[in-house]
Amino acid sequence: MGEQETWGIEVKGISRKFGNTIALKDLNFKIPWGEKFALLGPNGAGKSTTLKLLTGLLKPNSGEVKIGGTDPSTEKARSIMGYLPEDATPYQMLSVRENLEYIGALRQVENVKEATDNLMDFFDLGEYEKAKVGKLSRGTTQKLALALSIIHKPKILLLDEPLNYLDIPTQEKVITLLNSLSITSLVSTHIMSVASRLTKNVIMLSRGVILWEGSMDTLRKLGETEEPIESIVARMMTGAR
Amino acid sequence: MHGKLLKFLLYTRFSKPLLAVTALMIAFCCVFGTSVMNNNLLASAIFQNLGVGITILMLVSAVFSKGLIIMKSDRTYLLTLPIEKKELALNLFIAQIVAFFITNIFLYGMLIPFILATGGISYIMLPIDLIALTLLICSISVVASGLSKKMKIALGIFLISWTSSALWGFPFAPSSIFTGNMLYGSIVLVISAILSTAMALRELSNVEFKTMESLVRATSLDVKKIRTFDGMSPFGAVFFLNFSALKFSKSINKKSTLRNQINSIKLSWVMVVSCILGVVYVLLLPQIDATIGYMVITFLPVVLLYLVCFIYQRGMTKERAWLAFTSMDPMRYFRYISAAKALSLVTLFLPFVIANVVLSFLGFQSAITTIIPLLITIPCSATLTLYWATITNPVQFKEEAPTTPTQINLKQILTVIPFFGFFIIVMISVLLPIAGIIAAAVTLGLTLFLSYNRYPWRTFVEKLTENGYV
Repeated sequence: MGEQETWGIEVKGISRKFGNTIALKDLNFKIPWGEKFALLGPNGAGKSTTLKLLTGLLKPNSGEVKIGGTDPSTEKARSIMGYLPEDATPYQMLSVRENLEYIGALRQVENVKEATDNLMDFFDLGEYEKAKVGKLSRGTTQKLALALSIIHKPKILLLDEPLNYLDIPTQEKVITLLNSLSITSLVSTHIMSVASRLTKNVIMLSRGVILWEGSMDTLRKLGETEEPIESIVARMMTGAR
Repeated sequence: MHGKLLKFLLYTRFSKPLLAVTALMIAFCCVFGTSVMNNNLLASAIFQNLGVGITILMLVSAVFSKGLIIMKSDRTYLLTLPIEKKELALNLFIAQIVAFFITNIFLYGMLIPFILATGGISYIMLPIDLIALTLLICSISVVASGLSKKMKIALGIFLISWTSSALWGFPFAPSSIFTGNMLYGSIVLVISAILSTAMALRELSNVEFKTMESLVRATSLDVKKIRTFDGMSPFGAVFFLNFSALKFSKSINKKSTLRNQINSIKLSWVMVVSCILGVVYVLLLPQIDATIGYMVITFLPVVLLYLVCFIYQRGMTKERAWLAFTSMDPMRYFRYISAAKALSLVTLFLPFVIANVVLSFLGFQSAITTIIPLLITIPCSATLTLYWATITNPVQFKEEAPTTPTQINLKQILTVIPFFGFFIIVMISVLLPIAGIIAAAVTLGLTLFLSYNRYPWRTFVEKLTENGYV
């Protein structure tokens, strides 16, 4: 297996500014195929910016991003990548089914109707089939957004606060689903319990730089006996300020 | 309380750059209008007819509008304050009048020299007429918001007939101030404004929470018929979604929930109207005076261009970057959308193209010169307008962020600039066939260049994402 095939996601020395504000500074990390990573950090750490750079929606000022060995703006990278932004809003004027079928068609999903039916069943969206998205509750919209991000069965999934707004049964369903998929994933979240249930590895960001990187187990071992993981993370992040 | 409330409402609705640009706009319109008026009598007549056209557009828009504009911040903060609803409604109405007055200055600005050129009482009546027109438009929007759809259609037809009657010399119409009947037109306009404002105030004086809900229209929760994209190619899906309907985006307030909303009109319905208008156009034109006939033929593409630019200004504001641009290359996506929109315009204009071909056989030689602008220049201008608006103002309606017609910033004002350019290009294209061919070639070339150039779309996505519209 060549270097290109080893890594699902590669980030090499990326920096990104917004005006005079440095959002990310010389960020480096690699995620092997099939591994699940959490992106942790306080507000303004650069988590969402990192995901946007990985999707190709933003370009870095310097450095390089590779998705499956290629630039994220290539057709190949787009076809293997799924993305869910924070507070995602699908097409407001389309119904739930229309949103799914439309994106399914854009992504050239083989059997769009079947894929749509399966996802609507899984996320209990059947009763909202004809409902305009603009009229849905935030929780139902989030279910649809999740469904849209995985309709093409991506090999790499980038999720920004995926469990926001979801009720507890749906949260459990989504956690089970994401854990069952053999994919490479990077989940940005504030919530440690979400990170620890969805991933086994952590990249901790603070003020645009990587503060710590390693496995969830190693992170736990950094604390005192019985110290909650949230407390360890909080201590590390506070120390970085 | 009235003063403070009104001050607050005005401050939340108008920006300083807008007021500065309004002043510049008035100056430009007066200079431009005067020079055109002095140099070309035919152009003067066309501009006068433009006044009637804009009045029809504004009145009909008012009939189908949603009454009082209430912004998201109003709902979150203002409506929760212990302010009497009648007082609130009245002040919202006044703020809306100011907003529409500024809009009217932009719309009617270039006509001011032509009205003043009629001399006599026009100097006194012009400001009164502009205020009366604004009151009429605002009050109709409040009064009509409570009417049923059928009643609105009936009122719309009545207003179109009444306002357009000025074109045939009827002096007792609100638009006859533009066609040389300043005195009668002003009297009719002022009386209509007083009556409609009284009706609107009566409506507003009874306002309670429930009535405020009825001032804004409820929208359906479901789509009427689900469109299926199963088995379609990416091009097929984008084309199907964008070809079949003309979309107008706007903000509405429904009960206590504010939403940005896209109103779609099925292309098939618009085609029916377009065909009927095409037939009426062919039948009526030979009956009227040849000079007026020439003006109508020349003026038609300009009216259509006006509508096109109005529709396409916000063409990309409902796109979803995280869905569309992570599924497809932004340039390709835009190319598909603009192709669909341009072809829907060609389809829409086809009855007028056929009508103009028929008219050219009936002796109206000038009719043939409108064909190239209708089939190429205007559809391409729509694409270029869409491009310009997208690049200069990369904004999206993520959820609920309504704006009043005048709550815009300087960048948004810039998006209007190409409209004036296209307006002049289309006018010249109709008057000079050779220039028309060159204009069509240039607009088509530019459209193709933008449709196959990755860089601007890369920049658009970048700007959109930087602004937080993912």
